[in-house]
This record gives sequence, C-alpha cells and structure tokens, in this order.
Amino acid sequence: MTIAPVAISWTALAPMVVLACGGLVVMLVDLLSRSASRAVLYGIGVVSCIAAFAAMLPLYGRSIVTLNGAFAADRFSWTFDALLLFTLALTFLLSSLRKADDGGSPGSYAALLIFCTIGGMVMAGANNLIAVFLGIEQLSLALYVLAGTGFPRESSQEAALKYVLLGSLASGFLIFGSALLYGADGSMALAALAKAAASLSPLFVAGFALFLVGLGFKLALAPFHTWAPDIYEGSPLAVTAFMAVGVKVATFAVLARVVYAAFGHDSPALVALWAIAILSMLVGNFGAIRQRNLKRLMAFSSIAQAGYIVVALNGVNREGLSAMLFYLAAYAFTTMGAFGVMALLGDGSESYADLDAYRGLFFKRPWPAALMALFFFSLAGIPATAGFYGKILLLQLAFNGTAWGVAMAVTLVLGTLISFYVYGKVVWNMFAAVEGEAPAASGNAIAPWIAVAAGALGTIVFGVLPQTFYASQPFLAAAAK
Amino acid sequence: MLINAVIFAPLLTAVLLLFVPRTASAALKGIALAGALITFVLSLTFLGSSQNGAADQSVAWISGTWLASYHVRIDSLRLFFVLLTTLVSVACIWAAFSYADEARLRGYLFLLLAFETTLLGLFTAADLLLFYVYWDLMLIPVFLLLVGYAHSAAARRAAWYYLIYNGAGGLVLLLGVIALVAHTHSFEVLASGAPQLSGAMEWWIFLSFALAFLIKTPAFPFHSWMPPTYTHAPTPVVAMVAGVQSKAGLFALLAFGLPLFPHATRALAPILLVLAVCSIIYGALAALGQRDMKTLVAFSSLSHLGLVWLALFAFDITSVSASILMLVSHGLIAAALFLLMGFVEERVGTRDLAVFGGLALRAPRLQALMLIAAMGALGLPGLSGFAGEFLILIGSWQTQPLYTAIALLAVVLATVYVLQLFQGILHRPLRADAQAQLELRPREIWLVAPLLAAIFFLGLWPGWLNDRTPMAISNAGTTALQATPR
Amino acid sequence: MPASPWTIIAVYFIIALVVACVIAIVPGIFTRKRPTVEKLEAYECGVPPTSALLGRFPVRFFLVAMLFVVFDVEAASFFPWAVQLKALGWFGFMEMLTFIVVLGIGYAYVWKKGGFSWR
Repeated sequence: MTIAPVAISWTALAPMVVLACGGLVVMLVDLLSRSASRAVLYGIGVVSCIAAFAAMLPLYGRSIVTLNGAFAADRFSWTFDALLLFTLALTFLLSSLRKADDGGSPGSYAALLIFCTIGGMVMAGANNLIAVFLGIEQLSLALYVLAGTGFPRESSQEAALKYVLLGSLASGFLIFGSALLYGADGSMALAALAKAAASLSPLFVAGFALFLVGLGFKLALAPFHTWAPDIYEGSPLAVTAFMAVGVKVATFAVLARVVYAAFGHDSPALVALWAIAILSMLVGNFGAIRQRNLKRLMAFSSIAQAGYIVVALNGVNREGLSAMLFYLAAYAFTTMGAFGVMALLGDGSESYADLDAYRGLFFKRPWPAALMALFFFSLAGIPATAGFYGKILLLQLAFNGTAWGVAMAVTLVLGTLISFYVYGKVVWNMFAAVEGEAPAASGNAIAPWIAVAAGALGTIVFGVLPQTFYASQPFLAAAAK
Repeated sequence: MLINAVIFAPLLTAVLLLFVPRTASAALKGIALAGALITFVLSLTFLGSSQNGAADQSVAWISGTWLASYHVRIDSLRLFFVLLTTLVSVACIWAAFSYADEARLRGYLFLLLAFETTLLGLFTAADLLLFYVYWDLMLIPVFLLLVGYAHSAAARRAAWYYLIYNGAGGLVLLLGVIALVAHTHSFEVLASGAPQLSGAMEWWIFLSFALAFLIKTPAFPFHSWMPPTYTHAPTPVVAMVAGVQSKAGLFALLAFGLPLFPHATRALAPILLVLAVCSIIYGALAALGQRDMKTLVAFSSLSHLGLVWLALFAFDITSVSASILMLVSHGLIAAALFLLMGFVEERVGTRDLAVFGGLALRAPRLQALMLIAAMGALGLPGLSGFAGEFLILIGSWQTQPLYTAIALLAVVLATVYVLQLFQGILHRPLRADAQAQLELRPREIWLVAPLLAAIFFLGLWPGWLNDRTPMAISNAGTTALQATPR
Repeated sequence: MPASPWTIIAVYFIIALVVACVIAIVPGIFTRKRPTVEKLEAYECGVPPTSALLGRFPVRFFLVAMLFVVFDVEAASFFPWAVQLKALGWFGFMEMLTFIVVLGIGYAYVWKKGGFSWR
C-alpha cells in the first residue's frame, strides 16, 4: 500500500512556518545564552514578525487552498494575518520595559506569544471546522499561560485559572457545535455549510448556535462576556493588549468566514447574532461607566466594540467584509496605542491602569496624554479619527432596510453616546487640573513610544483619508466563499 | 485654495505654537494673534469676490458605495458667518492674553485656534459628511478648555453638560445623515436639489436634524447645557461659543435643513414655532430672575435666538432674509458682552450683580463700551440688534401674528433685564473695598472696539449685509417657502 | 423504515444507557451492605493509601503528568510512521526529522528550565 502525500503549498504556509522558526530561535537563544536580555529576545520576536510579513508579500492578492482544503491563504486571510503580525510586533514593543510583567521568563513569554499568533493565523486561514478548532485551541492554550505570567500578583493567577476553566467550557461548546454542524451536512469543509444553512435543518441550527456560543466567548460578546473584566485586569498589560486585539481579529476572521460560507445573504438564523450584537453594545458601554481601572474599562469597551463589529455582518455582503476589516484595523491601532500609553507611563508596571493616576496628566506629560486622548476619541468615534469612519461604515451597513438593522443602528448610536461619558471620563481626568504636583519623570523608553506612534499614525491617517485604505486591495477582501 | 487658507490658517498657527517653547509667552501671544488676524484679513477678501458667485472647491474624498467629497464653498449665505467667526476670534484670542497661568498658555491658545478652524470648517462645508465632521469635532476643544483651563470645579462639571448634550445632538444628527444618505448614496446632498423622500421618511430625518440643531443653538427645552457652560467657561471661550457656535444650528437649518426637507419643515413648523416662542418668553423671564451676570446674558441669548427660530418658521421672505442679519448681530453683541463681563469679573472677582456695582464712577470707558453692547442687546435703533429684530417682527407678523405678538412682549422684557444688568454692573454706589484699577486697559478697549464698530455699522447700514444675502435666501429658503406640508 | 446510519448509533446509545443504568442501580437495590474499614478505603491499585484523599498535594504532580502526556502522545505517533516508513519515503523521513527537532528543542527547553527536577 502506498500513501499519497497531502499536497502542500509551502508558499501558503510560509508566513506561519517563518514565524514558528522565529519562535524556535527565541527558545534556542534563551537556552543557549546564559544572559539573553529581554531586549534581545523580544527583538528576535519583532524581527520574526517582519520576516513573516515578508513571507506574506508573495501571497498578496493570490488565493491558494491547501492541505486538502483545510487551509486557505487568500486575500481575506492576508489582511487578517497582517493585522495579527502588526499586533504581535506592537505587543513585543509594549513588553520590553524594565518592569515588564512577564514572570521573569522572557524566553517562554516571547515564544508563547509567537505560537499564540500562529494559532490566530491558522484561524484566519481556516477553511474547515477542524482547522478552526486547531487554531482556536492553539491561540487559547498559549493565552491561558500568558494570562498567568504576571504570577507574583494574585490577580494574574486568578485570571489564568478563570481563563482556563471558562475557556475550556467555551471550547467544549465550540467542538460540540462543530460536531453537530458536521452531522448536519456530513462534511468538515466550511463551504459545505451552505446547503445545510439553506434548509435550516434542526441539526444545523443547534450546531450553529453552539458554535456561536463558543465564538461569542472568545470575542467576549454579551451574554458570554462575564470573564472579560477579571481576566483583562489580572493579565499582564501587554498580554491584555494582545487579548483585546489579537484574539478579536482572529476570531472575527472565523466568524466572518463561517457566516459568509454558510449564508449567501441575510438569514433568519442570523437574528441570534444581531441580538448578541445589540446586547453587547449595551452591556459593554453601560458596564464601563462605573469602572475606575483602565484595564477593566478596556474590557468593557472591547465588549462594546465587538458588538459594533458584528454589525458589519449585517446583510452579509462584500462591503461588510471591507467594513469589518477597516473597523478591526482602526480598533487595533487605537487599542494598541492606548495600551501603549499605559505601558509607557507605568514603565511596564500596572500603576497606570488606575484612573486616578491620570489626574492632571496632561499638564505633567502633555504628549502621552494628548495621544491617549486621541485614542479614546477614536474609540468614541469622534470625527477625523479612524474610529469615526469605521462607525460611518457600520451605520451604512445597518441601514439596509431591515428592522434588525435599524435596531442595531439605533443601539450603536445610543452606545456611542454612553461611551462619550466612558471615554470622556479618562480625558476629563487627564485635563482636570491638580495644583502643585511635580512632573513625573518616568516612562520615556523608546520601544513603547514606537508602538504608540504607530497607533497614532494609523488612527489619524485612517480617519482623515479612509478611502486610501478602505478601497485598497487588502480591504476589498475576496469573500470567503 | 484661498478658502482652505482661511479654514486652516488658525490650525496651522496652532501647530506652529507647538514649536515655540512653553515659557516664551510673548512669542506665543504674538504668533497666535498674528494667525487670527491673518485669517480675518484673508476672509475679508471674499467680500469683493462673492457678490453673487461663490468661491467653491470640491475634491473627491471618498468613493465606493457612498460618495463624499471635500467640498467647501463660501457663498453669500456662508460669507457672513465666516466673517463673524474670524472677527470674533481675533477679539477672543487677544482677550486670552490675560489668561493668568503662564505654564498653560500654549495649550489654551492652541485649543482656541483649533476651535476657530472647526467653526470655519462648519460654516464652509458643503458636503454633509464634512459638515458632520466639524459639527462633532468642535465639541473637543470646548470640552478640553472647560475641563483644563477654567480652574473651577463648576466649569469641570459644566464640561459634562456640554459634551453629553451636544454629543447626543450630534449622534441623533448622525442617524439622520446616514438615513438620508442611504437614499441619496452621496454625502453631496445639496448638489441635486431636495432628495425625493417618502413623506414619513422625510419627516423622521428632518426631526433628527431639527433636534440636533435645537440642542446646538440651544432652544427651549434643550438648553440645560447652556447656562452652566456660559457661566463658567473662560471668557474667550464663552465669547466664541455664544458669539459663533450658537449660530451653527440655525446656520445648518438655512444651509441644509430648509433646502433638503421643504415639506417636512412645513409639517413640523407648528411644533417648532411653539418651541421658538417658549424660548423667547422663557429666556426673557429666566433672565429677569438672575443675579449672576453671565447667566443673565445666557438666558437673554436663548430669548434672542428663539426669535430667529420664529423668523425661519414663519416662512415669510422678509423674516427669513433678516435672520442672517439677526444672527450676525447677535453674535457680535453676545461676544462683546461676554468679553466685557469677563473684564469686569476679573476686576471685582465675582459675577453676582447684587454684590458689586458702581463701576461707572471709576471706569467711564468701560461704561461707554458696555453701554453700546447693552443697548445693542436691548434693540436700540441705530444698533444692529434693532435692525434684525425689527425686520423679523415685521416679516413674521404677516404669517404668524399671534406668535409675533407674544414675541413682542419679550422685546419689552429685554429692556428690563438688560437695564438690570447695566445698572447692576455700573450704577449704584461703589463698594468701599473695590480695587483701585477698574478702568479698562488699552488692549481691552482695542479688542472690543471692532466688535462694537461692527454693531454700529450694521445698525446704521443693515442693507449692506441684507442686500448681499437674498441670493442665499433664495437658494435656501424658496424651496421651503413654496412647499406645502406633507 | 430504511435504517439511516444514525439509527444504528441511536440504538447503540440507548443500549449503552440502559446497560449502564442497570449495572449502576440494580446492585444498590439487591445487595446486602456490610461495610468494613477496608471496604470503605479509596481504591489505589491495592496499595494501602498513604495520606488523606482530600487535601493539598504538590502542583509538581500536574507538571510531571502534563509533561508525560505531551511526550508520550508525541512518541506514540512514531509507531505508525515506523510501520509505513517505506511508503512515505524521503518526504516522510524529513517530516519526522523536523518533528523530532521541534520536539527536541521543546524537550531541551523544559530540561534547562528545570521542568524535570523534583524540587
């Protein structure tokens, strides 16, 4: 008997392979050199991000399906991969501070971040249910550990434990949902979902519902969001940033691919998704009102933002995909930037996660405070920032004539109004004067400044010239189907 | 090109300030004032060129399913709002020189100049998306100025009123804009006349626009943000907000509301007329009861702008065309009054009219300037306030005699509260512990003088402004004037 | 009724459920209960238990168990590979070599980081 080897397109897999090699190099360097500093290890991390991006360049605009249809490297995954690599590189920059909270073992920290991102890239390109599950598990397992790397702090241990327990539960939902979806059409391929979705067989509906629960947990969509505040608060700052951005980017790739593969158009089954979106926008924004810890505030904010992004799927059309990518990019810039300022000011410690630390900051450190204000304005959707145009795109998609669309649009606007207070509160504190305090001197490391500057640049350029990006090839992604 | 120079000159000046050391206050002041003056001079050049025609520039901005362009224009409707902005800004930025905290002067001037750019952008935007960008963006400088530069807990609280009320208005407007553009597929809504909307749709969209405009102006009963903001904001800020920003809602009604929704404006007019009359009467009565001089002028502002709402929804050609005159005149008077009251507050340390008085004895120049501004607010013939009010009342009498009669009552009340204000500041015996230096400094006189000169000029020759605007009114108003409620 | 493949599975599940219930419940009803100390002890492969069952025990156990599972499962994948090596050819050989290298780096990493030492 001979076994026909699976046809592998190494070009399609190259970015992930390159990144994985980077991870191995990090581990080897950590092994062989007695005193590899944090800067060296994270530097290798950033370099592997760049190398992986270079490996992505030949894939630009192409569409390769490989590994027996399990994995697709197309324009859709290309942009998501680029966002993930961007997020990873920035996460390294945020982690590189003196007091960085990585449990004293930068080597394993860096390697885990890299392997985590590879999981995200698998998710972005996953073309069948098994690949989806593999990607999600790789991403999650690495993150469970990363959440606990601030282990001298009890809250970090708590975060890791909670994340493992709740995350495994969610994975259970996801795999059970996948099994039912497989049962509904007898195929693992996402493309095969369309037939079962058209008839809305009970097996499909049950499977899709469970699948949504699993994804909803990973995205922190209400009502599966309750874990987010504690875990965001407990995890080390840079890990929280990655959690807020990287996990959302990768999981939205899966959600979009599944929805686009299963439904060619609006479907009654998606009503559940719209209800979740509306609930998330309300829960996220109302929940954020009372928060005085910035990481918790960002957790609620990310719940609300995830709710906004779901609106992009309304109508299941091509514009929705570009809008989702645009909004995710805007969200990545602003959120990474905001966490960057927190890391920069606290010099890696958690001291600037507290809202009170920001009192009168603008008059002590004008530039970080001004940029922080920019990021929060963008999250609130103030014009001339990336977040504003993202919201315009989402509202445009919401107004497609359906009652659910209008309900989502109205909720989005209501949520935005509440968020004016939430984000305004941070800005208010930074500008509210405190008399007679000496300027704080700490926090001038170059690496987080690069991250903050990258975030600010993206926020402004995407906000003022949205067309340049919105209509560019990476954003006009070829739909998954 | 020149339009963009006018819009962005203040912003460029603001950016330039960032390169000046924070401690070099003389240089900061000089650059900021020069920037404001250059903007004013640049804006004056449009007086010659745009008798009928318009300066217009349009660049494609966003394509795709929905089109938007960077479209700015200065036509006869917009010109006077632009001039009002640039003139008032010069005075305000000059007035900001007396801001005490040297270390924060740079941020203060930066935000004032940025605020001027957002106002100029708003008044020149011909594309709905561009208009909305500035509509919301102008909240930021004022919010930050209230929080960081007013040095009082009350002002920091007022910042929330300002942000949440105006933010809510902006977001309601956003819903309306998106719903409208979902029909037109282009933010260039003015290009092809009124969009063909179904009756109910037009009604809803106009309602959202109207709500936003009512909040921004503000008008009764959406005015709760105004008294705290006007009372506690730093002097230059409140002069710009009361003088210029409060015109944004009514300007938007003229530029977008009336041309886009001719039928819905007619249909909603009865409600809006009632709100207008409520604003007029409520504002006047509330002003009567104030001891705080700035709150008094805030409520008088509510009353005066209510008159413009009445003018627009009376749908009479005389009243509608006089509304621009009234708006510009109110902007000049409110800015002058708030600046002068700011100088008074600086000297006596309180705004409470019952506590101080008698400044006339020591400060005759202050009295003279205050007299002009106050008489303008009161509507004395020969000053700009009279011309606008008179034309509006004549016009709206033709179609809405009942409401006009009620509004006339408020004109009488205005005499009472303005005199209360004037006497409270300047007459009565001087307090024994009053500061020695009460007279205005030359800088303070010179910075208010242009505003007062403009008040005189428009009062003596209202036709100079009014004759230039019929073109604008015919663009904006005729569709609404001829439309039938639907 | 034509038997769909699912019918067979359903029948299997039902039988399994019934049998499990019977085995679990029936003895409880019919047997006589004469508990002794030895009978109530936790069952640990016949070895007398050394400590209380409920209580704290070192987290090191988990570490060892986890490492064992990881390397054991990975080693298990050598067997099918060895059987089919001829059919897989050079490609299969290189694949497994990569696999071993990656595994080896992980092994060395755990070793160096002290994962195997019982401190």
